[in-house]
Amino acid sequence: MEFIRPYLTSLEPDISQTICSQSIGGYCSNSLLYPEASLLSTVGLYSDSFNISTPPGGLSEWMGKEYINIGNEVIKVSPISHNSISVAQRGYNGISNMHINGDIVRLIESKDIFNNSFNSDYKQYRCIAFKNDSSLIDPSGGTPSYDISFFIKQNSRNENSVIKIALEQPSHQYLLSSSTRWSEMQIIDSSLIGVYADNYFKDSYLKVVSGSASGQGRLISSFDSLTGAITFYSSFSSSYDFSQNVDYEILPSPAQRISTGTVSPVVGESVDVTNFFNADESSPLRFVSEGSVYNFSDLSPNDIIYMWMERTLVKGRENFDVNNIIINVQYRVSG
Amino acid sequence: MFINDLKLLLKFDTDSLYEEISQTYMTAQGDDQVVDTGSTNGYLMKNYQYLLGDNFFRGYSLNISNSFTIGFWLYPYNPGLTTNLSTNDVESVSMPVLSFNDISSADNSIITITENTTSSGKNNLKISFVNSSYSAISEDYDPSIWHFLWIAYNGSSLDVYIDGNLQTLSSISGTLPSSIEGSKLDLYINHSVEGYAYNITKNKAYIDDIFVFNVYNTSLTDMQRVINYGIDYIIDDTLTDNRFGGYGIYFNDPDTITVNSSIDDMSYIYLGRNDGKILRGSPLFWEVRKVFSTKKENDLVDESNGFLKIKDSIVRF
Repeated sequence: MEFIRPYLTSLEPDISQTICSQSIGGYCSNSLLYPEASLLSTVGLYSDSFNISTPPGGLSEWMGKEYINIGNEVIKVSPISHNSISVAQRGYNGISNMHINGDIVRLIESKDIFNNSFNSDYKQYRCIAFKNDSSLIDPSGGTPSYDISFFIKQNSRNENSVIKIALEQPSHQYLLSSSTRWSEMQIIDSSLIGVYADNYFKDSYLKVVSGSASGQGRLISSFDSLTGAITFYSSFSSSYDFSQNVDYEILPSPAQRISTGTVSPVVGESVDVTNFFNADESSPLRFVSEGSVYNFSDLSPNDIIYMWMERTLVKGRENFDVNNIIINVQYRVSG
Repeated sequence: MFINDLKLLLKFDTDSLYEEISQTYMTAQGDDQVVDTGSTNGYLMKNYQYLLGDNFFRGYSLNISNSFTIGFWLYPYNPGLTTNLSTNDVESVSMPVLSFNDISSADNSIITITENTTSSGKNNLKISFVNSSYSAISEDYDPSIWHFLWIAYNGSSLDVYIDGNLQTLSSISGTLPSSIEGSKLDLYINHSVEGYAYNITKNKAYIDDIFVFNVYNTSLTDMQRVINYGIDYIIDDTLTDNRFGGYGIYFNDPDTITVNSSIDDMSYIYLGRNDGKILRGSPLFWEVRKVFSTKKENDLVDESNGFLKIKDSIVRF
């Protein structure tokens, strides 16, 4: 079961990103890159019909759509009207694959990640958060992924449109811990004392996961390593019972947020962002090979890695309406 | 799976389904084309070539007794049907695909895979064991496109997958042997043993990436990885632990966008583009919309092509 899942990024944490072209860094939103369902049976290389599960929220978003993606294959289907999918063209992108029961089906026609706004160099940028969601599949713990790397399995099929990718490492990853004291504006956690530097969690999102405030979150304004005090920008409601300690999680730190999709993110080791590469299968992009300060190759449950995309058009481009790229994430499931 | 159970691997290219068929094909012998993989007792052929037909009198040490898994790519050829001159009946044509024969006795066929043409213009696969003491036929498949065949046997069952789909076998004849003598075998590809010709002695099908395990394996996950990511997963054990997530991102490259109509309302100028969008401009501000906020704006759009109407070109809001 595939458990590294792509999410849109957003200006604020813990929200849905409804404007896909605004996936330009910041926090991992609650919105998947594309709506997902799963296959209910094997789909052979030339199978021309199959069934999908009913996705969370139903099929309304899928109705009438004609392009889906499973693994590396883009499939054109007859306008979707129910769970039974009828194929119009296998291997629409020139890649035909075999798929098995449980494989993820993505509705790639549903969202416009890119738009027609380019800078003077004919470039635009987007940021996708890839999250280890294995704890959703296995709530008892999840599965770490090791030696993670990214590559472009298939770049744009329009030779006048090229995609490059860069990776951004969050300054910190997911943390689950418990308070030793808390109030409207602070959580004190003695287990953090001296473990992390001052302000290590600044601007990250803390969410309470137990007690009456479960599900409530606040942005962190500062962290004091000496006392283990996490202070928020805004206070929790005074109605919660602060005498009872709570479990909390701090979500991975946000990526850079660019002002518009036509501005390049800052790249380099000082900001934990690799350069942009046309990383193909023979030269996948991974942090450990891109700089001595990067020391990141594994993705534990709930951890995130951000992937930036730089799309460049060649001036005088030709008409090419239905295009795609295929990104691959490669990893091991044993250490 | 994989490497420890591998007994034979004939690899002809790294691409799977959409390779271009070159006009040079393998000859089985030749140091520059056949590489001994050593510990696996197998032979690895170099990339970007395919095998049209040849015999491998190698006596492969397959050590098959009561289980095996055979896989390969097949680009079938369909020569049509033939007429039996004795009976005037129209019959299918039988063509050799793979045959594993005892090294000591060429007429002792252990595993034989042949193709038959059908009246619908398709082919099917016939799998025979031990001099045809048992045989079964697959479902029909289209010629002239690549198929992946995966055949697994364990002494009590025979499972045939074509392109990842488990086949319903028909015309089953005889009893499946509980074991077979497959320790040292010669391999005939697209080619029948001399003196034991089928209707056609040399199949014109292309065959690619043949592997043989002496274990029974019907793992769909393994099958998927070999079909989608290539036969390297069999020989590179650093890859067998790897997982891949494939993520398609779909987008429209812009057309060559042109302005093909314009109109003004004394305050703004509106430009209609051939992509159906409208630009509203003032000296200070431009915006692009596809959703029109007022009925009058909407009335500007020609529903037939999405352009602004030039007719009645003065519109006041």
